[in-house]
Amino acid sequence: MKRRMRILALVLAVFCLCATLSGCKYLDNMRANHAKWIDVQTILWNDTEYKLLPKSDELRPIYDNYDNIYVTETDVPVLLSRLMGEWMEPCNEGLLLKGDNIYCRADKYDEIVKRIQEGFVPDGCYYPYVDYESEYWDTLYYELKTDELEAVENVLATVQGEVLPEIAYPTYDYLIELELCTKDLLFSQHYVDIFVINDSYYLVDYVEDDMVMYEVPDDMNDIFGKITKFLVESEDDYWGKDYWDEEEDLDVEGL
Amino acid sequence: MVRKLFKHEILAYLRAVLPIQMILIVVAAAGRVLQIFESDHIIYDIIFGSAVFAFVVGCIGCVVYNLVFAVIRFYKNLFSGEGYLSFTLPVTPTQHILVKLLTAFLFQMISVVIVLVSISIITAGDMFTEIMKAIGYMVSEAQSVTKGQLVFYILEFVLWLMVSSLTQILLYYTCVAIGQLFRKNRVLAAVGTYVVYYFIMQILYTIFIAVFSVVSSRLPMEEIALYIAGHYLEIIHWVLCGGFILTAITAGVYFLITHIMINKKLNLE
Repeated sequence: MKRRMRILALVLAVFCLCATLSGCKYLDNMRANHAKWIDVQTILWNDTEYKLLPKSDELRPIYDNYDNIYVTETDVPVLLSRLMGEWMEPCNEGLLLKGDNIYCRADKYDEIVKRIQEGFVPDGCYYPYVDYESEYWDTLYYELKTDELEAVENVLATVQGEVLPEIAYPTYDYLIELELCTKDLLFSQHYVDIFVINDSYYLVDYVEDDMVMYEVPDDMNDIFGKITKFLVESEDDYWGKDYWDEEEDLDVEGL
Repeated sequence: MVRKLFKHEILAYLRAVLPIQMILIVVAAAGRVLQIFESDHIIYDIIFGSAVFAFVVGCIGCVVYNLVFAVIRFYKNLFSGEGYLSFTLPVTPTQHILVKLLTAFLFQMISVVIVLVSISIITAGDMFTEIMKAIGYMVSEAQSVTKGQLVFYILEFVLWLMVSSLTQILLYYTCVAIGQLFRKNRVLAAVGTYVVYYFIMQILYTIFIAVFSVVSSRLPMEEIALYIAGHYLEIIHWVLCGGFILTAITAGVYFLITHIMINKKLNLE
């Protein structure tokens, strides 16, 4: 009996030791995504302080594709963080986006506030596209080359634009939105949209309540084709060729 | 004599229910030990997922098995061949029912405790600490919302749960007691009794909902809602106490029916 009790006590002790020494990945993930309010304007996340930035129309942080984090009061336990917390999106350059508010890492705060106060100075023209071939469908940014940007500016300057009322919004095959951005993509401003309608290119600018549409001359189609090279060219790229092959088997005239 | 009856009843439950509970503890311990080898590999996910599934099934099975054993023991001990021996003992039918009821209830509570212990085993360590923190936080939040009434709410709710458990057991006893009136297929008759009871309850519930919908459309619902919002603390007490009393009355009715069946309509095999 004594021997059995000793063996049982040993098993329990080993179990307790293993239980206390091993971690829990689920909890670790929750802790990694749990932030706490220090005060109304300051958040503590992963032992780093984040401060609320002044509002700026040009400050457009890009969502970083990580799990959302949840910010709660300091006394809320981690298991209740998703239930009771407000969610925030981690963005590029150490920013956190919560609704319309943007929080910045304390060590970068002064630098970004200074840039906001100095005003927006674009370094280039970009548009976002999705890399469907990558494992996680990455969102990337295409930067227009000098000649491509010059082509866009040339069309806007030389082509007579057609003013369309808002209700006459044209149907299009594809659309990309060009943004003037800083190199780090932190600040951006909408520039102009490129509409692709029946293999023709149009630039669309928005002036108050109206749209101004510029038809790209045919001799510039090549360069606009290069600009829009990351557009999805056909449904084949989405669904694969097999999906559309079935249409070729249909003999409509024979019906 | 009643004490001896209790003793034998408890021993019978221990022989039947204890192995299941021990298995649950072992499954929980195995689940916890498995977490030591935690990794991102899909094989671990499959194995751990299966272990958690087995644990959940084990928890449900532990509680359900106890209930099933209680009903089977009630039937075998009082309405099968063993009944001839049971009713020769110097024990009244009321005492028979009470002994079986209280033992079933006791082991039901023990099953619940074993399930809670198993949960604490499978979450032992960091997770258990966080669960306790979360519970502590929710209790303190509830305490401030209910202005100190939480303890009473919990007490009333626990009492209601306990009476509900007794009522559930008594319901099955009543079905078995009515089923034994039939000469053949008594078990089937007991099941049929439960089905008929369930069917009648559903009809009554539907009628109640229909009547309530008609009546409530003529009531000043806005004033009622305002009153509830302003007196919610008292209303929770009424609901809990009212539920307790209603359930206790139902338990009394089931007990009475079972008692009458055993006392006046006993029909042993």
